Amino acid sequence: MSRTDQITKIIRSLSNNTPDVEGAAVIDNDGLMIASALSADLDEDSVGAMGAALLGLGERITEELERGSFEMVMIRGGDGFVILARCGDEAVLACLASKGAKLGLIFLDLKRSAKELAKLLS
Amino acid sequence: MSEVLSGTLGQVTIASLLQLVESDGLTGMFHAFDCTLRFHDGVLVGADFFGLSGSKAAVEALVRASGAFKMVAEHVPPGNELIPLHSLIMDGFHIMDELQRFGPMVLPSGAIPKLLPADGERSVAQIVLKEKLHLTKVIPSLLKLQNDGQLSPVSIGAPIELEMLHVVGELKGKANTAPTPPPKPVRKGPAPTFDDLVFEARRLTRQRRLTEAEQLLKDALSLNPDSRIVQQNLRRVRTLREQY
Repeated sequence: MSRTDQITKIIRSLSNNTPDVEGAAVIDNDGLMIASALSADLDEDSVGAMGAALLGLGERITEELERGSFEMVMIRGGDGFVILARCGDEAVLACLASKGAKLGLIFLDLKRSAKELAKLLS
Repeated sequence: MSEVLSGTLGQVTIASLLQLVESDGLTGMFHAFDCTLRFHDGVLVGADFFGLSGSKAAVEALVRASGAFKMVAEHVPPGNELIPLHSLIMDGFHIMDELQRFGPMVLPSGAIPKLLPADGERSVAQIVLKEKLHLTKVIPSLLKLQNDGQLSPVSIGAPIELEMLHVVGELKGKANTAPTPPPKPVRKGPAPTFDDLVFEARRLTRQRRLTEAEQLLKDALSLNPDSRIVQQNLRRVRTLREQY
């Protein structure tokens, strides 16, 4: 199985097996998608660019405010959540969750997936 | 000693020849005008070109060696690999890319005083040719100036022809007067996979080698035209190119 296929398998598993997760993607620091398990109506260009922008801002903020190295950022909207978690030095795992999501469980699965992804991407 | 390869650079590229030497595990000396590359079991263990030695000589040779070449099978002791072949080829393409960008620039006097005698009249390419300068030193310095916001060309001339940088034969006044035999068939190593191309393209993007990244993504798309991920990557790289 190629590296891309293995990465896709991990995020599809996250998306299918974790309750309330509606989609996931792996995006590198420059906004290039590495793998996607998002719905087809989402614009990949926007997702990639926004992921890179959010990562850049998150890193800047944690550095400027002396909170250590960036690990995760979460945005809450009226209809759900967007969570970005670092998976290695060169990429982030982006996850979309529904409005009533159990965040503790999602964070746990996200962390496990991010760890597996980091190994594949190193 | 026996001659295992011979021909003329230009009819076949030095990159193709090096891939053949590596894939066939050849041991011996590769000679082109003012260029000597030493191989042991297909591994590049030594290089001399145009007054340089080591990995910089290998990169410089990749970009600029010209004329007749031959590979002679002879004893070359094993040694540390100077530079992996794929890195050598990528570095060579990088130099050529940046040369296309910087070559036509005319820089003011004193722009890079110790390295490039800019005079506000000649282009970078003309100075490199005339003064027999090493691209592996000039290009990184120009990149640093640009990154520091200190590169201010006086003017930018017409795009350069890379062939003009095959300086060695021209400056020394030697020409290929002897008839050269037809080039021997060149076999290439195993073709990169779709995955190889895509991950290498992303690595190059991180290094801001965007032209090379774009080409690799196009190559990946030729293998898998329906890949939405690679289509997105290509659009993103093009966007980044506009920004840089």
